[in-house]
Amino acid sequence: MLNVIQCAQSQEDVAQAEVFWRCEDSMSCTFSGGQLESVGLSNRSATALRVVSGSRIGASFGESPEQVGLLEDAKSSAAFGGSAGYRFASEQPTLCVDAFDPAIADLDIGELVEACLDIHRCIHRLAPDADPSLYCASSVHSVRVATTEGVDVEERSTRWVIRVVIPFADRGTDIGAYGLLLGRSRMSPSDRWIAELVEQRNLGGQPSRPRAGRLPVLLFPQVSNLLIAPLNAGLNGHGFADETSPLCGKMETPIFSKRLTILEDPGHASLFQPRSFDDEGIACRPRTILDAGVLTGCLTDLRSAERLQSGSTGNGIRRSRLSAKIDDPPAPNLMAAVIEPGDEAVSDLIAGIDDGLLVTFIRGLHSSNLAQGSFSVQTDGFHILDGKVAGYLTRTMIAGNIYEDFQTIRALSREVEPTAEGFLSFGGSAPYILLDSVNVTVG
Amino acid sequence: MNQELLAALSGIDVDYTDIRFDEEEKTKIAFEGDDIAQVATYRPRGGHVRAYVGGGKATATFSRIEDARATAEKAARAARILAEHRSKPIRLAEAPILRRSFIASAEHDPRRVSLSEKHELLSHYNRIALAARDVLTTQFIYEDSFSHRSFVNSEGTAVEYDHLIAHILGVIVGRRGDTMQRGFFAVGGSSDFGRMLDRDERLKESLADLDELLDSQPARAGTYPIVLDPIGAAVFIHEAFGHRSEADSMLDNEVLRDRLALGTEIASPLLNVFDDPTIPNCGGTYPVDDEGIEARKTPLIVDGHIAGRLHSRETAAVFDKPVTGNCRASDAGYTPVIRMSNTVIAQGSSSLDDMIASIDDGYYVAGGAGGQGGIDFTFGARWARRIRKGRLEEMVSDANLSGNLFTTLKGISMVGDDLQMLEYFDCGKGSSDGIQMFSRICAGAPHIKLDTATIGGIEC
Repeated sequence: MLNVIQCAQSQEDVAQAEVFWRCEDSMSCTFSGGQLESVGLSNRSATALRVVSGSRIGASFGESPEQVGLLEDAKSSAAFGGSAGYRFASEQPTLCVDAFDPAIADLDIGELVEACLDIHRCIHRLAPDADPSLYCASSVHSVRVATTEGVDVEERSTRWVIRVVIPFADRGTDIGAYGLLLGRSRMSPSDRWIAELVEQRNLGGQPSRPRAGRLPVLLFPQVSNLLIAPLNAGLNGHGFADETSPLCGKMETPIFSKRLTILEDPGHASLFQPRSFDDEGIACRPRTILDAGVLTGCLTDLRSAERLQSGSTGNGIRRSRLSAKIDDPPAPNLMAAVIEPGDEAVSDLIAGIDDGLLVTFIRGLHSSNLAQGSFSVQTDGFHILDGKVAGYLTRTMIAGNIYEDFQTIRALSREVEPTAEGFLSFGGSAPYILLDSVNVTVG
Repeated sequence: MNQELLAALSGIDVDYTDIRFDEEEKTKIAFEGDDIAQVATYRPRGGHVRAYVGGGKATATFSRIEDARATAEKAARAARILAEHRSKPIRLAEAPILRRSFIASAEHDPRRVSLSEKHELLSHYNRIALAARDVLTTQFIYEDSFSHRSFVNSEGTAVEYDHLIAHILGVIVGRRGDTMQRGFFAVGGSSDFGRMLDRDERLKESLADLDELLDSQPARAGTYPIVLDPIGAAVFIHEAFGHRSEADSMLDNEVLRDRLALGTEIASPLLNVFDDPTIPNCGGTYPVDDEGIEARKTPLIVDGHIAGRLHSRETAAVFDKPVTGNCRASDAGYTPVIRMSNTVIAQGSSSLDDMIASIDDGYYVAGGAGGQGGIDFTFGARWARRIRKGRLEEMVSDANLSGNLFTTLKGISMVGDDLQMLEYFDCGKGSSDGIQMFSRICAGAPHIKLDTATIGGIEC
């Protein structure tokens, strides 16, 4: 048992305590301008302590649970904290997936450098004039939650990330072909994966401006995942308690096209970042959030569950809209957004577009009124004419509201890609999504 | 602390190395509606090492000072491995040796204000917002952060410096019928706690904007002449040009370097832009950067021509320019990267009335709800107002703007005489460590008029 929990248990003025402790040990290697650029080694640890004292809750933060003053700081904060009518996790979660690869933990920096150089050699072989930027990283993560209520659980995982950007031949832009490989064990990109990336880069020979108005828009998997961010805001249990969510009163009713099904299954073995429990130590459970367009669940943490007089769904994550810092209090968030694929090949989806957009990346989503489902973003990607790429997009925005534009999904691809938690994005997986009609503005 | 850091570096066989140790103290209070969502104190600490050997570079982080030496040794070894695979060595520009302490001080220091007083101040603003018409809920956050940093390098620089900043942010959610909108309130953004006191009038202005926004319709998509308010113009220059003035944004892009060469006419001759971390009491004010370089003012655009860039020691060497003192890290977990400080559009001579009067069909765009920089950039407005035949008319919502670096700045046809600095601003920048969120950053501007900007509204 952690000392700080033992100490809290022995103090009469502490009714409950909870420690959240996460550690990351990572190595990364970057390559750009035809050269290895740098190597980064990172060993970070961060701890959050919450205590209930005098029926009020307070918190303190530091690097490790052993940090001097952590408990006293949390108790001092509790004097001004909110009332805590809920109990910290009391049921020990079961670890549901082994996401730890010892080979990643034992990896040497020299091996990571070689892996990065290998990818560059592959790209160079297929496209000698390409000037790619590469990022390769391996990391070991551990998350531990312990409470005075009897939970003490730790989950370790490993990650392997390869990110490749090959700028379009017209280097006056800062966009290009973008590829992301995510895994829990070491992997090399296949020749086919690299060939597709090079092909995508070659399509960006010149810009092409679509007409303004409502056009079909095909979203890359990472963009499909990003546009789930407004839904994440809408599913927040606090929004149901405050009645600020546009989804209030819509449970068990259709909110999207019936082609769309989204599962929340953080423990699924195929995920890049699987989790068995949330940041409050509550076990994660597989659930269907959206079943053929019908809303079937919302997301709660302990505090929002108390407000809704229900139980936590195991979605209490230390993450705010724009960050995932240790001092972000737990809040309801999707942990795994698994968007069910369709049955069409992405090549057929492109071939079926007379005049539309293939969107590979969006910028500025955080400026939109996400809580209401709105988005108004700048796009990277390609203009599709008569089923073929006419050129890359420039000065093109798409805008709308997911609760309207996702009503008319033309198709989803059978191809899916894993997604990673990041700036507005969520862990899980997503297919390409072809929206029937989205408002497009061209500058 | 500097002695411990020097001891950690001694005897390690490198061309150059530096080490930084951060000790922070933070307070955070958060209300969500009537509920207190969090009251917390935070005392993180940790360090960061950079090592350069034989033209290779490696960085490493650590949490405990006891681990500093082992971390420095690991970084040196990693840099050596990298050097074996580089034909072009990474170089650092010359930098003066600095041995000084820069200790934070403030007239009304947030560290001397009790938790009770901070709590009461935030609660006061939250109560005013909750009492306003059609306000459904709120999120009000008070945060202060004191960071004491120690930095030494193998050239002999040894500095200690502080960062102290406090702010209050409020998001106010209102609903009228089926329309739900958000109002914003931001005060502080400096080391002076007093700047957050007695700001009821500012909050009431935000609540009045929200009240009107709840009756507004979305902006119509298209290209229009627009007037940006000082907050919007400050976010605009940060996103539209500021990020491109960070020299690492074009390091490996020869085409872009040519297109953005010093002396290039990038903007209207009315536009003058500078970055200045020495402006007192702003969010981006600091005495020394995280490479141990003293802060200084850098002109970026002079009379519409590119006049300067922001540099780290690495990019200054590549571009053969002097260092500018803009290499910063958000905290100990991150490698410093080039960041703007206080980025400002210099005051012009036009009045707001003249700007509005010059537009037949366009928008007045207020506030900045975030954005993203690039050759094509974007940013969101808090609200906007239609301009017809030289008159300000109804408010509209959901006005997000985009533009292009090489065309939009040339379309600035008027610069106002009413410069204001933002009180709160934050901005993330991607690096090999991930996205570093900075709240110690600021921008300022007067009203400006753009002849053409694209609004990505819902209806055309």
